[in-house]
Amino acid sequence: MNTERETSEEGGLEHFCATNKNFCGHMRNTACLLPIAFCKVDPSGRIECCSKMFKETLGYRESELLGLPILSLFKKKRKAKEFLRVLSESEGVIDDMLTLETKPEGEVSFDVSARSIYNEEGVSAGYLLTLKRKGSGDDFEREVRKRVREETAETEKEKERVKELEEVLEIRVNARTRELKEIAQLLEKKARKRMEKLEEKTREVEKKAKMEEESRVALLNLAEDLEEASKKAEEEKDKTLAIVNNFTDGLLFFNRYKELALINPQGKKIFNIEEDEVLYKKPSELKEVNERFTILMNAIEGEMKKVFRKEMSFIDEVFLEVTSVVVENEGKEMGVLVIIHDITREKKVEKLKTEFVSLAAHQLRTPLAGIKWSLGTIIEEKQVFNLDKEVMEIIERAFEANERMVVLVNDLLNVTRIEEGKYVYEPKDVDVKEIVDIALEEYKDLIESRGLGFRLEMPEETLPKIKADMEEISLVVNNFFDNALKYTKEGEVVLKVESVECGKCLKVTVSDTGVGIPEEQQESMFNKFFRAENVQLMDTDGSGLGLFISKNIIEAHGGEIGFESGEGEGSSFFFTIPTVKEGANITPNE
Amino acid sequence: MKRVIIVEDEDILRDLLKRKLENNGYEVEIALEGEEGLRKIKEQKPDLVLLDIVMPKMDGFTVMEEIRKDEEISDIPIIIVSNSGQPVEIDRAQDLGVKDWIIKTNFDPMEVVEMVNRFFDTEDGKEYQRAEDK
Repeated sequence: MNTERETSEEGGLEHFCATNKNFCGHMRNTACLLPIAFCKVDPSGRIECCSKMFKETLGYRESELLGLPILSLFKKKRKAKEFLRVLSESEGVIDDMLTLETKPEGEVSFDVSARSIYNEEGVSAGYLLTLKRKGSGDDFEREVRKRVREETAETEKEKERVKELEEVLEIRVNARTRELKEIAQLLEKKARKRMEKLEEKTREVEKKAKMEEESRVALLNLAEDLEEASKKAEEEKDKTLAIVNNFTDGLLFFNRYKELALINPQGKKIFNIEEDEVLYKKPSELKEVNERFTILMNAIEGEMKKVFRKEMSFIDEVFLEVTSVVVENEGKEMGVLVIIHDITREKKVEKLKTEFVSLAAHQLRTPLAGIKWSLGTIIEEKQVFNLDKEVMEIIERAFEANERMVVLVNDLLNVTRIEEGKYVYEPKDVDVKEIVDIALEEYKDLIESRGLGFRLEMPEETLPKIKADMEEISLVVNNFFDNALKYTKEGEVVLKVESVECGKCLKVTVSDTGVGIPEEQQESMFNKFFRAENVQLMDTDGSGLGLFISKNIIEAHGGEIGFESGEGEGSSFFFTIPTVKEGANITPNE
Repeated sequence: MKRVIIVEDEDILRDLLKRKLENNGYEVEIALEGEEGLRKIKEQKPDLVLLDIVMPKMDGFTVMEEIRKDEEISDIPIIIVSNSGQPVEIDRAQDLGVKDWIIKTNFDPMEVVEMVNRFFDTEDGKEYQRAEDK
């Protein structure tokens, strides 16, 4: 039997007991978890509480132990009693080896330690009891060591195995890693490619986006331009409309289908109608609208395919000039524009002019005739009057001057009539031989008396007739001869008649060997009052009207007039006239 | 002897023409203007009238119109001797039945006389060639 041990342990436990009122509570809560098999026995010898280890060591359930007389646990009751008696007499810890009954069936020797505990008043509160397996400390240690060794060995084995596994794993992992790396690289490559493609696509998309943006901008610009163009077109339309509406002439527009599509305010005034009476009607319907439209449609209906100009008048002394123009757009016919121009005033002026010219002619001619006849009589009857040679010369010169004046006045009057457009003449079927004969009669002797040669070149066979006004054509021939005589000092004058263009025309040429016409003067030859510079200084004169009149006459006959000349080389003046068969349908110059 | 009446207001022309015609064997009467002319034509019923157009009091056209109205003198031949020559006027004269129209400045007195001779030569149905056509 061991007696008291004075250790720190003891002191601690005492302190613990002394300070803890409810020991069992603590026991239950904390101390019971201690890895010591101990219990508290109350003064009556029953187990008040115990540790988990206590229960497990003995193999009893808590319910079986609590309240159980501790003695019942001991195998040898007498020894146990003795132990307890000693305990009650001691103040410290007592130890002994005792055998206890364990569950399941069994007996186990334990080293039992116990100590009495007292409460604050010093009254006994029972005792603490601990159990320790006999030699279990060393055994335990051995056991533990064994266990540890075993465990360590196991662990080492495990470690080995693990290491092996690890190595295998490592290899596998390495292999895997390589695989994965390769795969990763592949994937990376693929990814890169994809990226590149993506980038490319992105660039494309960006490009497209840019293009679209540009297109958008271009479209916007276009839209702006279109709007501007549309505005301009609108302005133009307005302008055009304003012009059409304010135009001082009447404007009518017939569309492709010959319907009257437009008539401007002046047009309505001229024809004395309202728009709705005539719009979109065809010529046949328009004729019925009113008398004025009848006149108009009669005048233009047949002619609406080409450009033409006609005069017409309404009953009440209104004269109108109707001009018709076919309007085309890129080769397609859009319609016909008819312009009605009021020429009433012009007609009046024309009439006044004609009257003036008549009067002027008469007034100018009267004194001229007087002079002509007076001087002419003296010259004719010079034998009778028997005047001095000198006096006769003076009179003759005066007579010649007067003759020139007569010619000039005639020319002026003719020109005035041409300009009025009223140079009316009567074309007939004329044998050119007649004209030639007249010319010969008038000029052959005169030419030869001037010391010039004269020649006629005309084919033997009969020439076709020409449609001409004999008087006027003679005028032209005379003009040519007059000029030839005036401007030729030596050489000859030739009159040539021939058929040209396979008999379609006759050509009459008067050639001379005179002064000719300088090149720079040639294009003005047919102009009114024009005289070439090289003849202005000569001792000749001319009104400058002869060729102008001749040109008008020939062109009115549907022919052509012209010349060939060189300075100092003479001139050849010619005209052509259509013959009766082919060129019969000449339009008089109205 | 053929009788000719000259109706012309211009002195020189009238007197010269008269002298010329008389020298060529014609009996000539004169009138200074249309009214006098018409009267003398009615009185004397000449074989030919040489008539001017532009004259005071009554002009040539009116004279012609009056002559046409009077049956007794309506077929007396008339030749216009004038200084105007507008086609309009010539047409009008032709409609009134004149035989010819000459412009004074284009013919001298002798030519006028020749024309009168020719006229009388052809009076009996021979073709009369108009002076201006020659």
